[in-house]
Amino acid sequence: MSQTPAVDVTDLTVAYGEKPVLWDVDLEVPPGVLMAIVGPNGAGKTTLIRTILGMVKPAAGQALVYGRPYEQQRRRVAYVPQRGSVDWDFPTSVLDVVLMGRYGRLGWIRRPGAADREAALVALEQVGMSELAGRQISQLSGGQQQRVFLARALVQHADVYFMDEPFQGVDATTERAIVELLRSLRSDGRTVVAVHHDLQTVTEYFDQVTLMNVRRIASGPVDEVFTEENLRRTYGGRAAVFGRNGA
Amino acid sequence: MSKLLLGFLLVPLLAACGPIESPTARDLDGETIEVVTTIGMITDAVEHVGGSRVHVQGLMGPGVDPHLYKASEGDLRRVEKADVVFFGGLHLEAKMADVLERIGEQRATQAVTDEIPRARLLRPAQFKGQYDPHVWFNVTLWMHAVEQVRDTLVRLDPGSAQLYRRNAAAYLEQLEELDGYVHERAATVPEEKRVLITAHDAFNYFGRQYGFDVRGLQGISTASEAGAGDVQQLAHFIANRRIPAIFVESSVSPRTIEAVREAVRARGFDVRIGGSLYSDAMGSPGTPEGTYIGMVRHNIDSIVAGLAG
Amino acid sequence: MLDLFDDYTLRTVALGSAALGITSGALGTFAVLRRQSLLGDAISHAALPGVAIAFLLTGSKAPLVLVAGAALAGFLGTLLVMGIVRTTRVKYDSALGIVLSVFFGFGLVLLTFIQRRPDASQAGLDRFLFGQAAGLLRRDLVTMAILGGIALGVMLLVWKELKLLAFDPDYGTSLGYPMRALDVLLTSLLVVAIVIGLQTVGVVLMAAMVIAPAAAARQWTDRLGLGALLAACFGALAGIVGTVLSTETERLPTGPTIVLCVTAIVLVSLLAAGRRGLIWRELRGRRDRRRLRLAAVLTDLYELERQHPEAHRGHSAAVLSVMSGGAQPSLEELERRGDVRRLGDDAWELTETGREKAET
Repeated sequence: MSQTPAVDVTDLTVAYGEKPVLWDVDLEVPPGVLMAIVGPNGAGKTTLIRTILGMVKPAAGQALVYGRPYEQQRRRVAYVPQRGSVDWDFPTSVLDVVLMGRYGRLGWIRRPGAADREAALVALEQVGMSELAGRQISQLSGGQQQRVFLARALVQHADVYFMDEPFQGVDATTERAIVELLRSLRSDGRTVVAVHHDLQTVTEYFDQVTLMNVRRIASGPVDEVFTEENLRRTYGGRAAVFGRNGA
Repeated sequence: MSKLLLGFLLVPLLAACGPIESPTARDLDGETIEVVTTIGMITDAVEHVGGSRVHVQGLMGPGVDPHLYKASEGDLRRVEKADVVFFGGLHLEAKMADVLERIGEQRATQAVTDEIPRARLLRPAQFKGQYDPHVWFNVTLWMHAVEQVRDTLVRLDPGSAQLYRRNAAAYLEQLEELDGYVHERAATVPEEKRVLITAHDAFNYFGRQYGFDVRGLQGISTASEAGAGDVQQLAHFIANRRIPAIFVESSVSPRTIEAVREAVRARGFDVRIGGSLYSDAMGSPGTPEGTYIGMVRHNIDSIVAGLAG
Repeated sequence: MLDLFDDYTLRTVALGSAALGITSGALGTFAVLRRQSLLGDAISHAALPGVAIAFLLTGSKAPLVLVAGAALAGFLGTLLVMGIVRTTRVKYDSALGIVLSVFFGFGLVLLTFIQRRPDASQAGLDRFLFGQAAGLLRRDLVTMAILGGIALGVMLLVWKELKLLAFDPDYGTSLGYPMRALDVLLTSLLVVAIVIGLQTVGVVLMAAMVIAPAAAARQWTDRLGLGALLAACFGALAGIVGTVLSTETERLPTGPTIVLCVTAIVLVSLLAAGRRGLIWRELRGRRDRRRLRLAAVLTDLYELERQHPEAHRGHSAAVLSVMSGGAQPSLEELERRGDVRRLGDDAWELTETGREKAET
């Protein structure tokens, strides 16, 4: 019985000028899995996510979320951008950033109310940051910053979460906390698609993996797909082996 | 390589050492004299004295402010082709000073105010020892300027000296009459109302010659900004002395005068805008105000109407 | 002091300057946060040819017409900058510089060309270069208040959207907000804020009124809303004080004086403000370094004590200085605090309290 995939990408192609960044990418993410997107630098991983979310116009192909284009499914999707994509010196508090996750619900002009603050505090609780609600984001550590971004996504109560390198540059405690979070999302039936940078932890943290380098090399359950052969094809023989038998 | 470099450096040096162009002393006998002037009053004077012997181009037309005027490329070309350039001098054409100086090395240039005895010139305190250049408002002083024009033309073109002298004499007679007219009309304004307030301090000579107390919002040159304090003080003065009219100028923006008017109103008095005076520029060519005599008449008539009426 | 404002002219100019300060201060907050400070400069300079062309096309010297021309040109300038960045390899700051110089140069050429026209001086276009605050009339105030009010009103209305735009535009896109349109909106608001101030401060200096109040406010607060409010207040303060100063003093042009005031506010803020102020940072640094030195000396004494089990033998400052350099003043301070006792001329030992502290 095939359910509607959470994410369904077909023939997605994106080019900047003459240079292809994504080429003919197909991807199917079944609902309720943790999917890692893995590949070398410049492989188009971030572009893939941004294109699915409508920030980049593809030259060809399409991306559907639960069978419909992204614009119709915004309520069901949450985005966790890379930590470095934002200037953390911005004058705002942790709670304020998390509240941004409620903006989609509020639409134009309306300001967040008591109910929204409640939801934000609950999300902060989930990531273990409730005491820091009033803290200026400029005073946060890397791991704390990541957790704020996660809380912001959590507050959207989405079905699909797109994350860009959520484990990049965080401390061990935060890393464990994030893994816990992902697992609890999965048991809730949610789907997570995350660009992941650390080959070492792919098999441990994720159920499925997509290997890509401008083209999709392979995609599917970690056990089947995360092999030496596929890694060689993705990284061009440059990476050491980190398959199931690896370190 | 270094020889090449030396060569490159020498070329401009050699060029600079070449013969300097001597001021062209074109034989003007029988030829039309090309004259370039700055403000309209000078243009008018030269046309009267030179008659058919001259072809005059004025750089600054009606409504143009000579204190701020910057010479354009076209102006420079005109000046270079001229036989003689007449300008006001006394720093009137402030932004053209270096142009006039440079041209002076190659062409005949003449400040029409040179012959005026310094004793008759005004030296206002805020202008730091410079003379007030607005001499044309004292008709008798302007007569000196006309004489200057005549003498210069005679020197350049002795062949037509008689013509110039004749023309000048006729014009000077008209100016004499004009002076009398202004005196006459000025006398019709009662003593205590003889206060002339304008946008900038252009009328000091007028005031001295014809018996008016004169105040301008901006200083001698329109290049200085009128401050809120100046507006304040002037409004205070006007309201106190109950002056019936103030005047805008054709070559200066009326905004600050309007600001003065609003300020006066706020003090409970209403002052009229008595009309637009020609201060640093004349009216459109072809109209009476487009001539020096017409402009002076227009001014005194407006002033009298505004203050006495 | 208050009867200073009894004077109509002073009141008018001060109100106009305040209006300009408030609008440019508040909207400048966003420009500064988005690293678009120089965009304000580009917009102001780009406005010059707009004024000239508006005059040439309509022959009108009505401020509203000229200001509209300024706004259009300023807006066009920003579009051009964005276009250049998007379609060529030229970077943002270079694009700003190019547009700024080209537009401004063009404006100056137009002004020189216009000066020959008889009605040119009447229009007084020159005043847009450096401003002519004294020429503010009641109707100008009304225009400034209305336009400024609308700009501020819109800003308040879409406040959270603007916050999103400034902080994380990508996330905003993912939520479904039209970030590009919001960018255009914010830029338009900035254009409005700038053009209403042009007549007072002039094209050349207007950028200061956009950047300085926001920069100063950032020193005092870490909250966006409070920062914008503070920037508005600083802008207004500079406007009013600048007006008063230039009015009471001979021959002091109003526009530049206002800019000097706002600069003074920035300097004071940089030096003195809250946690970020340079002065406080210096003082805090000294205090922290002193603490470290005291702790070091205390610990060293403790170590020496442990090495020499015969207690009640004082240690000289010289020995301590070897371990932590220049121990004498620290020893005296510790003595004052009761942590150290002087046994002889140059013999020091820990007191009970001192020992306790050293142990922790």
